[in-house]
Amino acid sequence: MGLRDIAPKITVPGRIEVLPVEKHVSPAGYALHAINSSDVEVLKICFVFHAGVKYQTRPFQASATLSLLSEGTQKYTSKEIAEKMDFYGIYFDANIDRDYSVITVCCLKKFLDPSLDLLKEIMTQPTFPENELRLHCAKRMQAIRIEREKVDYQAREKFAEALFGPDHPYGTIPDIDAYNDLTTESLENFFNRHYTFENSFCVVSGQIDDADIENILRVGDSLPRGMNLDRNFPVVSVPRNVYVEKPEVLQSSLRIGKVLFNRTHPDYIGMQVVSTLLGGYFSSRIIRNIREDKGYTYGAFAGMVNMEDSGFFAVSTEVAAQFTDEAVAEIVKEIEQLREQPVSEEELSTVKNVMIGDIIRVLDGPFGIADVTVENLSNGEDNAYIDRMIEEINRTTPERVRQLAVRYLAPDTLTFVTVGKSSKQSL
Amino acid sequence: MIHYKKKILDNGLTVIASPDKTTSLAALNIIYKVGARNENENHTGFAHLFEHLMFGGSKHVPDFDTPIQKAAGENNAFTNNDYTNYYIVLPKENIETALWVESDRMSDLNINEHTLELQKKVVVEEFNQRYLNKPYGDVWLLLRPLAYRIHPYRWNTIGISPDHIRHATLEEVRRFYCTYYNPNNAILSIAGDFEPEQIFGLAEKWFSDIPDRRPPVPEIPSEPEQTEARRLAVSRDVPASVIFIAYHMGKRNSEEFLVCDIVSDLLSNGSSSRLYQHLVKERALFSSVNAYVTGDLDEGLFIVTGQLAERTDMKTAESALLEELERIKTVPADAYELEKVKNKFEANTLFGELNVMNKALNLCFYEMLGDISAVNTELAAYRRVTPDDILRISKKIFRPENSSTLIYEKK
Repeated sequence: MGLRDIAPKITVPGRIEVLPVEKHVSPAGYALHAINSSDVEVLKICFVFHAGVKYQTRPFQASATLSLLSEGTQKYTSKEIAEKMDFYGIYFDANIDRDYSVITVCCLKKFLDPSLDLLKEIMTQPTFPENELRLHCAKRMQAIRIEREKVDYQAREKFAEALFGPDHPYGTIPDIDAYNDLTTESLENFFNRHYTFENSFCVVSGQIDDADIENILRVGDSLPRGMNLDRNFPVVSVPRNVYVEKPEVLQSSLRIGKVLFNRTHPDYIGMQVVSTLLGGYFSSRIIRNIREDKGYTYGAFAGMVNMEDSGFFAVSTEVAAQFTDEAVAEIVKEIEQLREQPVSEEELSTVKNVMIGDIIRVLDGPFGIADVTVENLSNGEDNAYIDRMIEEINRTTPERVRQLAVRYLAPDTLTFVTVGKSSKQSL
Repeated sequence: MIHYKKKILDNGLTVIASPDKTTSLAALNIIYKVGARNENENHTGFAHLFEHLMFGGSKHVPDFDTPIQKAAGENNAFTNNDYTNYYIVLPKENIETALWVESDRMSDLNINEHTLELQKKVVVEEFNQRYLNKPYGDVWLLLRPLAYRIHPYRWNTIGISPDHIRHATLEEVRRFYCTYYNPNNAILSIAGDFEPEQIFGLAEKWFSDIPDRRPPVPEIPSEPEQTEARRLAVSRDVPASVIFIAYHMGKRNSEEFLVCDIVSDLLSNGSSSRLYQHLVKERALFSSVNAYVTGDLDEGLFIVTGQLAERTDMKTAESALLEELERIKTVPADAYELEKVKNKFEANTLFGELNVMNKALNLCFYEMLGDISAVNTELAAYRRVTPDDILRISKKIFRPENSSTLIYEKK
């Protein structure tokens, strides 16, 4: 028997050891979650605000507010902020989704003090200068114009609109010209309402000592007081068929899916297993079919998307334009197959290991753990969710996969979006 | 600081071990020293197409991806002009699975008509998705043949046209595999919580039986010195015009590269950088700007580029970029500014060392360059760059007769 005739033994951890998260609360009540790891002399600091796009009262207000935080404060001009960030080698990121915004700083431990000084200025004393706002708007307008030339970007926007409706904050596609109506005052309003002490928490990871924790808590304490104005966003969704014809394209972009639920629903993790099986990894059914068997595409993906007030299932791909209809039919066929035939134990066990492997990789190192912690806390959970998720993945049976597909993925309840060429659609 | 040990097996395979106690993962990285620069001008895109075929299964591993997925691992690959890189990241307990599949495809790859025909289609779709069906996707398809006349860097990794990919034959695939996919044309590195001796033992176990086939010494024509400015103007259906100016510069392995890298940071790394502050913020001529070095094994390119703001005309945009280059040639950078870009480089180096995959890849890369110790000493070499170096090298590089300008105007 040759050396390579027998595959080496495989072990997959049933639990993942994750560095503990320590919660510290300032006397005033600001919460900081710390992940201490002494290996490298760097720190990652994430300030999370309930200040996502859904809270805005006019288009682009939330993202512009976030972007302008670092473009001028009481003490520093935009240029001075940029100079300091670069001089201390600070990695700065301001990220926003529909529900939250996160301000992240990674810095060398020796430069923590100047980093915190900057963070405090940015989060508490922004001035939203008019000239910086106009520059931001001009740049963003051009960037979005370019994005909207791409079939996949168009398909993503149309899909969200089809799922949630043009009036829902999760579905609206704003007109680019709305940037012209943004004012310093509208940004200040958004800032005052949402970038508050009550509306925020902080996650820190890396080489942290007690003094660091106190210093960071002081930044949290300095945030202006105010309450989050809770808004209600009811979701009503009906399946739709959307076709945007682009006769000149080489590839069509497809989105297929439906509104389901978010992470708080008992079937969410089960549906993550279903969508991974369908299109969430390289040997998944859709990729095997339309890429590795038929060569229609370079890539495809299926997954669940979690949001605060809702969640959805989506398949996305870019396919050769001449095979648009065939690709849609094959994707539907794969979904129907899941509803009819139970998956083999063998295939399901591969999917489980792929999912657990992904979790292990995301959690590798203190910076990765910080990101997962931010996500779990945003969802009102702690990192115990990781163990629950792994248990639930491992518990999933072939029959449960079929039941979930039957319950949630009936083809006549799905929304189809095609941007590109389709002979069927244009009839 | 990345810890490592290196050993060369009898068949010529270079093995690098990087112990890391902080992670439960293992990363295996392998570089084959073959890229688009080794291709014939009538068969471009071949190295990259071959990378796809490496996932088509081998003698004992009929489906490459499945065992890695079962082992809770992730794998992928990329090809560039100089080399082809494969990696696997998985729980460290499963490192032998990675060695098994990786050694089997170096030893006995399945090469057949079906896989070839299928992957040709997939790669043509990749060509469409990334280069043809996107605004600005064809920039590099235009810029490379403008800047290079002889050297194979004149084409992109994806190839000159989808037709080259469609015409690849099984015979060529077999020859390519025999020529380049040899232990002595490869560098293997493993990072994870292992003792170096353990890693060398495993590498010996899985790779030492693969016969040593001497790869040919690549005969790559060198690019003659450019003697006059080149220019190409195209118009496309895009929302904003862009300009690219490319200057020939030194190899990745030269002192010139380090200085150019610093110059590119002075120009455009971070929002305090010169191009961003002067041209995006103060004069609002551009909506974005960039300066970067390609970092190729052979003589590479220094790229200066910008996307024009709505009301900027091309002539003003071009002069503004050239003025900045003129300034860097004539006015010494001050100590503060130089310190700033060096600090930033240091921080980015440290952030990069947090990731086990990055470490494995970097070790292979620096070994390929010819001096693995540079993975740790390059930071100090950056620190030694002086304002005089910057003046001297900038004067040498930023000359009109060394430039290729691509004007990409919106219709």
